Amino acid sequence: MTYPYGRDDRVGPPDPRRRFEELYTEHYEAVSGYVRRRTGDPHDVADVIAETFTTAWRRLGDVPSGDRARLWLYGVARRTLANHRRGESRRAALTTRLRTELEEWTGPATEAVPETARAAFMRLSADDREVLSLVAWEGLGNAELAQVLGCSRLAVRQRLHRARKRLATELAADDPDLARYGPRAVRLAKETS
Amino acid sequence: MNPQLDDVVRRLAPPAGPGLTPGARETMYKIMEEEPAPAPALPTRRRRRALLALPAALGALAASLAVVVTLGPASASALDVKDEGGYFVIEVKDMFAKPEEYQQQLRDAGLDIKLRLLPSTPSSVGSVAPSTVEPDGIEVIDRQEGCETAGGCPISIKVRRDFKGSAELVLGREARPGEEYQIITGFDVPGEPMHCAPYYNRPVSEVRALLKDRGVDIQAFDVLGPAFWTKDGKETEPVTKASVPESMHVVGGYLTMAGKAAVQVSDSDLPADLVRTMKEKTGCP
Repeated sequence: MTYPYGRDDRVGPPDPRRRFEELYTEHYEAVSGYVRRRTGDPHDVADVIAETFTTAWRRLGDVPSGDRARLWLYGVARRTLANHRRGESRRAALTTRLRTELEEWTGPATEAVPETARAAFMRLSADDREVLSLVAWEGLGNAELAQVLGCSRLAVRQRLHRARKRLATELAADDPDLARYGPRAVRLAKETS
Repeated sequence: MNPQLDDVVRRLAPPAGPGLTPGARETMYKIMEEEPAPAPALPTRRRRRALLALPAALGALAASLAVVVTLGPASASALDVKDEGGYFVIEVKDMFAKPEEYQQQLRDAGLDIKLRLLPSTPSSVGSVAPSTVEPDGIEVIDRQEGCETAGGCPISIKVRRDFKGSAELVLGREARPGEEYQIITGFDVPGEPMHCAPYYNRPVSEVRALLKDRGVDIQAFDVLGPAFWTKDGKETEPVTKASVPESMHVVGGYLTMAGKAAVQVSDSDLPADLVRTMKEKTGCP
């Protein structure tokens, strides 16, 4: 006897549990990385990850397919982080083991960065830092940024341009030798001054 | 693109954590076991306003940011919330209030809505940021014609009294003097200074004069790549420049703040049929 379909083929919408498992395993690393880079405390990290995926579970029907799911999850994580208060744990019951793992994890050594560069970055507004980080840390392009930030590509370009301009200015404030960040940085900084 | 500046930021990245650990898997199963099952997808409705359907060739359509909210003291005057036959009609009294003030008042009315107002080009004041979606049960009340210049029309939304979901809404507001717009619309849509101005494919020198007549200076140029109106062409990021040859052709633009515009230029002309479509969409002869 032959089956016209594989045994796993199903008619109708996929089982929510299966869909969630796929979503979770495929995007966990991206989402946890996003959260971990923006908040250091292991309890907060665990809580925001759990809250983000709990939202995804509850709103599974709204989660887009393919890579757009990752961008959707970044958007949720971003809002969850913004609403999360330090030390507050709403999802402690879901993350007992995860919290311990995050606490015990010692990451790889980070690259040495001039303290002036870090300070310049930290002087930017949270909005500027976020748009620059999404490009440099999550590797997003303008179209993807537009989806995560919920705005048009045109607006994204403006925000990015302004944020880079302000970063170049901040870098120049501490470091007269701005040329090592490239001619574009020098030009951007001059545009502002 | 700015590889050097981006590289500075990249090197500041904290480590990303251990990835999909056994504890992370445990959390996944716990979410499915302990949290209520998924709700069906919410129906959403796109805004119908014609100007939103303009060709994205010029990329001249607008924007919003997601909402960042923290709790804080609320004043009672940020919003005027009225209960009118099955709806809350909510009028923004203080468009410069903090988001948390709006949120507090909305919460007092039993609504889980986060509202944020961002400085916007004249035609988007009082509208929902064009690329966002109005949640079902919430409606932004369209402002009447003429509000773009009058400055006196209120910004209002209507929310069904039984609205039980949570929503985030980003609306355009007027900009303070010197404030950069965050919601940006093409400068030729109704309500914007270049509406129906004959600028398509005209040289920079001519368009500069048209803008000047309308009290607008050129702040920057976005140089678009070849065939910028096609799908592939749109993938090429424009290059922003402070000056370009006066002979380059203008194909679009937008206000960046009151009295300042960024002008989109190219070596190629916008095709005639696209110009016709743009004129039709904006109601110009």
